[in-house]
Amino acid sequence: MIQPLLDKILAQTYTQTDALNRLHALKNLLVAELFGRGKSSDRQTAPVSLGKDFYKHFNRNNVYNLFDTLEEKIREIKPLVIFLPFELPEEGMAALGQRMRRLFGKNFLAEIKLDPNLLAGAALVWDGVYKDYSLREKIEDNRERIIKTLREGMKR
Amino acid sequence: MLNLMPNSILSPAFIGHLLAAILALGFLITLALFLRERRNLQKLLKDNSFESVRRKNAAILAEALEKAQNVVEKSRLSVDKFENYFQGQFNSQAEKAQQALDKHLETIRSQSERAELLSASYTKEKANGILERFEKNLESFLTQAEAKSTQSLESELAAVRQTIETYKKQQLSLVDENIVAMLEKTLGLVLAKKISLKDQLDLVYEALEKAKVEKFIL
Repeated sequence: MIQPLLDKILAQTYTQTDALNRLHALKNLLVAELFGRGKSSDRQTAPVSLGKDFYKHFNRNNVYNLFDTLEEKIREIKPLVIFLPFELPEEGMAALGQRMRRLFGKNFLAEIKLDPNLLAGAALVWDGVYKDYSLREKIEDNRERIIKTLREGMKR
Repeated sequence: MLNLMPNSILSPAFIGHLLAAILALGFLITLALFLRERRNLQKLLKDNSFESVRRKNAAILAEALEKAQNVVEKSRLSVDKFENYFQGQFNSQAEKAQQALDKHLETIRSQSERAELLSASYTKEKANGILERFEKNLESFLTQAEAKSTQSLESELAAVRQTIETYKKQQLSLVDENIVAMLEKTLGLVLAKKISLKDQLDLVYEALEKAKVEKFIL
């Protein structure tokens, strides 16, 4: 029962932070709904994308346990840290997330960090190992050729 | 040392001593005769009268004086003879000595001249040798000094060239660093304004695909 719920939560969530935030929001919503606590407006903000069936799995007896298990599962997922040289808007995150999932499988999560020095492209950290695929690294790799070209250009 | 008196019998001191000895001998003989006559006279005095004794005594004295004079005369003659003989010997020996001395001096002079000539020749030869060696040493020293100077200059030049080359490389390296830094800064400014989100994302997708191909992400 947990895996379908997790798949639904992560279907349109691509970072671990977003996934945990969404999980907490859902928990608050369902607790309010089931125990009659919280604001009445919470029910209206419940994400429609999850579908009506999603909420049927929760009741007063299992809601806390289910959310604890879901949080544990989300935290177990090892995220890919992506350093980007620009601020990524929401639509950009969705496009990037979908591309990640196509490449690395469903429920793949990332953590986005900003590094303007990269110029373009991205640098990745996986399993504690940093690898630079940015334009800055490409310039470093082709440093001699670039300098030579620039020198020749200056001579002319 | 040159012996100027080959025979010491010819020395004047010896001759003087000899004459004194002869005179002393004459005196002793005279004294002995006198004493004999005196004894005879005393004997006569016992036998004869005073007058006869006086005559005899006078005769004896005269005879003694005569004999003494004869002896002295003879002694004088002998002394003169000896003196002449020794003077002759002395002169002969002195002349021989003088001749020997002259000969010796001549020998010394000739030896000295030869030695002088030899010395001059040796000195000249020695001086020539010294000059020749000095010339060779000087030439060798000059050659070595020239070689050392050249080597020193070459090493100095090499060091200067090396320093210039190092400085040039350092400066070029700095310029390269600056060029790359400027390039990166320019690209950062330009790309931030000019590159679209789609293009940015395409580059990120490219990075992800490359990571997958390289099996960086498993």
